Amino acid sequence: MRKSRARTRARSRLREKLSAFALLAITAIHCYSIQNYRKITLTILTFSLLLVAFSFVAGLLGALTGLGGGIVVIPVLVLLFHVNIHYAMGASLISVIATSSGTASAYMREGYTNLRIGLFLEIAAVIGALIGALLVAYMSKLFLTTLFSFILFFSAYLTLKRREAEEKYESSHPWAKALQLDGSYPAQSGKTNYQVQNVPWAFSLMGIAGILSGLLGIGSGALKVLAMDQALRLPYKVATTTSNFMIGITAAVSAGVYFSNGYIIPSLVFPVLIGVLMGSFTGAKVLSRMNTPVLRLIFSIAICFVGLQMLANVIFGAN
Amino acid sequence: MLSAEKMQSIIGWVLMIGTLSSAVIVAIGGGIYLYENGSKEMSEIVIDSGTSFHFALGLVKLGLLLLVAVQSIRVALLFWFYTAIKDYKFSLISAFILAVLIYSTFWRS
Repeated sequence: MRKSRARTRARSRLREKLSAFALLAITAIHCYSIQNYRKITLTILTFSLLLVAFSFVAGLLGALTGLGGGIVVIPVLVLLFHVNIHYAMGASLISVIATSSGTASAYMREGYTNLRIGLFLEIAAVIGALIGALLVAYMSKLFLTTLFSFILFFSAYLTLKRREAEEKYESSHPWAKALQLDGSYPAQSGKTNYQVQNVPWAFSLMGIAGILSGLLGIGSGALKVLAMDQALRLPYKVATTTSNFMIGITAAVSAGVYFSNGYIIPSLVFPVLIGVLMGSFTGAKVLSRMNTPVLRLIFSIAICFVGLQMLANVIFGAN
Repeated sequence: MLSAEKMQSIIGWVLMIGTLSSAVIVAIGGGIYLYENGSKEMSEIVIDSGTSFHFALGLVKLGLLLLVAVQSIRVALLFWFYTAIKDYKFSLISAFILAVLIYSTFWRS
């Protein structure tokens, strides 16, 4: 009885959220048409309030998927408000750090985050990012972007395909034993232990994620979650929350360069920071109550969206 | 001795306090900025790209820098924790990440 009541309550909450989404979408279309056809300019106040609302969604999605807020912040700023891509990337970088900081404390106190895995994989991500920054002059961005967007579509498929409840592992990978990477997390049925698989594979994937994020400036969150979900075979919530812990550190590595290049515009970034933080606090509260298959679906839709965005960049030359 | 759970909650609280104070500073700066400029048109927004000093936006920038600094602080705390429990593999790993973070903060292309 109580269960079914909780379920109806969850359903009505979901409905509320969906209608909020619809409302935002309508506002978005509305703004877009205003910007394009009537040429009515927004005041700074209206702009900032709209940006807070969109960033809230970004933070919420980022908190639930482990992707950071960039997947919403960049298209909103560039397509809707016609902000220069560099300033949008600066705002996105701050949104990633904010999502990570806003969620990491909650996820760590609740015991989702696996700090040892996060730190260990962060080495590969950081080294990869440095290599990526060095390679940037020699690689075809067009080819890489196309390739990466297809990797994302394939990953969405892999994410949906995994049935972690049916998997059983007798032991963990020798590296995982040596580094004591195994852990436990608060599943819906209570505290559950898990065993970590294929550490070298995840480490290399993380290196590739670092190189790509150094080269393209995006997408490290997606590959982080994938490496932990598909290679390490972690429970999904552990993968997304550990990714959330890591992305703030990875993004902070590039923050210095962004600041000194003047890509971080305070008047543009403050609504983003506030919206994203509120969104990520909300997301962190909701996560423990969400079902893994729903989270997997949200993640897959989100990375398909990123993939489409990248393909659009290649086709229409938005970069 | 420090347990891993205790450490997680300490880092969690440090992160929370750091993030919230950064958010408060940014919100105050943003509030003053909106109070002064809120009714202007949006096309003027690009003018303040950091060349001229503006008190409200200076506050926002300070908050943002604090947010970035908190990332180094959490890695530093992890370094301290792993050294304290004599887990040298992981104190080395966190030291390496901390070094990269500090290096990249001062590195200019």
